[in-house]
Amino acid sequence: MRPRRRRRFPWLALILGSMIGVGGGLYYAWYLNPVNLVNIAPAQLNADDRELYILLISEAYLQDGNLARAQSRLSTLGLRDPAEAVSVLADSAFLSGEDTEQIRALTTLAEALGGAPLAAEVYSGTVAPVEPLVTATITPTFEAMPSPTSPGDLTPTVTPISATPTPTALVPAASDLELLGRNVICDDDYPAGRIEVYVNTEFERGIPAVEVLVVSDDGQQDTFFTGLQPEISPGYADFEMEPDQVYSVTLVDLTEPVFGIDSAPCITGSGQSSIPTYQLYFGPVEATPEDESGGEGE
Amino acid sequence: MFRRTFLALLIGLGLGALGGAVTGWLVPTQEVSANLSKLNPDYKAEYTVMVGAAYAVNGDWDLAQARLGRLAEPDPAGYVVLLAERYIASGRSPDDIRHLVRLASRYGYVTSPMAPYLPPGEGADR
Repeated sequence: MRPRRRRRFPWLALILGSMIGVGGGLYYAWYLNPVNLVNIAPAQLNADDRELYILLISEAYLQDGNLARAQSRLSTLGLRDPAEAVSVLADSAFLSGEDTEQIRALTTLAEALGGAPLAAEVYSGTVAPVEPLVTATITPTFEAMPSPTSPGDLTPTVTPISATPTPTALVPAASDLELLGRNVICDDDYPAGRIEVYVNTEFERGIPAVEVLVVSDDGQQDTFFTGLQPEISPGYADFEMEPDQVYSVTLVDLTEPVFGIDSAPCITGSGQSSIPTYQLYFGPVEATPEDESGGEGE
Repeated sequence: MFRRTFLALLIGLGLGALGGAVTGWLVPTQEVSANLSKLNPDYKAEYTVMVGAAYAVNGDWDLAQARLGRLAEPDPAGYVVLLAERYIASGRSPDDIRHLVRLASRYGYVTSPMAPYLPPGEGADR
């Protein structure tokens, strides 16, 4: 009797087919016919539209002042920390020189939510809770009252310290900016005796909140920030010079000092004596190899 | 034997493709997101009201139109008019209605239910 051959199931073919099928199915689902969302909530918006949605919430808040409604609207975005999210957006708009109304709206809402946007000082009139580029010095004081009866009872009293939180960098990293141009104006029709600072991005947009340090040759120092006159430019700031001084101007942590800002009198076209006004233009460092001019013009 | 092997391969392919597709849809490769045109109608309405509120602040009609355009409604004016009338009919917030009516008016459409919500001096200009 001939033994009957066992017919085995071709498992190998089934597994191989499954593997190929799974690969094809995944390719189809991920690339050929991916998930297409409809009827979504704001939380499922892409990043750009989500930012626009937050901006609109802040502009609507600026219009109606209804914080509860703004919070309710923000809640539909599923943000973990709405105050932080709005602050970040306000900072981003502030630093990139966006429209001032948009910065104002975002800043106002961020503050109302308890956030601490960098633009608060400029756009809301309230005191900014963070002071950029200033290091808080923490000096705990100990008051020990020695007692002759119980010398081991010295209990130092530590005064409470409020440390200023360190903000993230406001502007491009150090040495990213340089003096691109300098104008000296001695004209009857132009305000005299000013140092006018313009700090711009490579796309000619003003950079606000840049700290400017002015030092005169008699050792007087003054600091001020760009962005306080957004109607001129978000990157604009100015300083009134004293007569007969020579000043240096530095964008703190960003540029080397610009020396030789001399407030000695000049003669205008009509023969009058006046103090010149200096316009200083700062911008990103040109990284081109043929950058032989050093970027300083007249 | 060959037929059985071929059949098994086909069955494997079919099952694998089905499982792979279902898995792919349930576990997308990247974060699934969509644009404003895919918003639920209620959120679209809320968005439109906010555009109207922003327009009331900045008066920038080009910007308002661009923002409404993001909803990809085939007839933005008609959409705003219908929304305004729906809000009026359902007794929604007068401020919201005013924002919508202002937009509709700017598009050049003012229906009689909208008239009481028009800001003074508007409505007859288009």
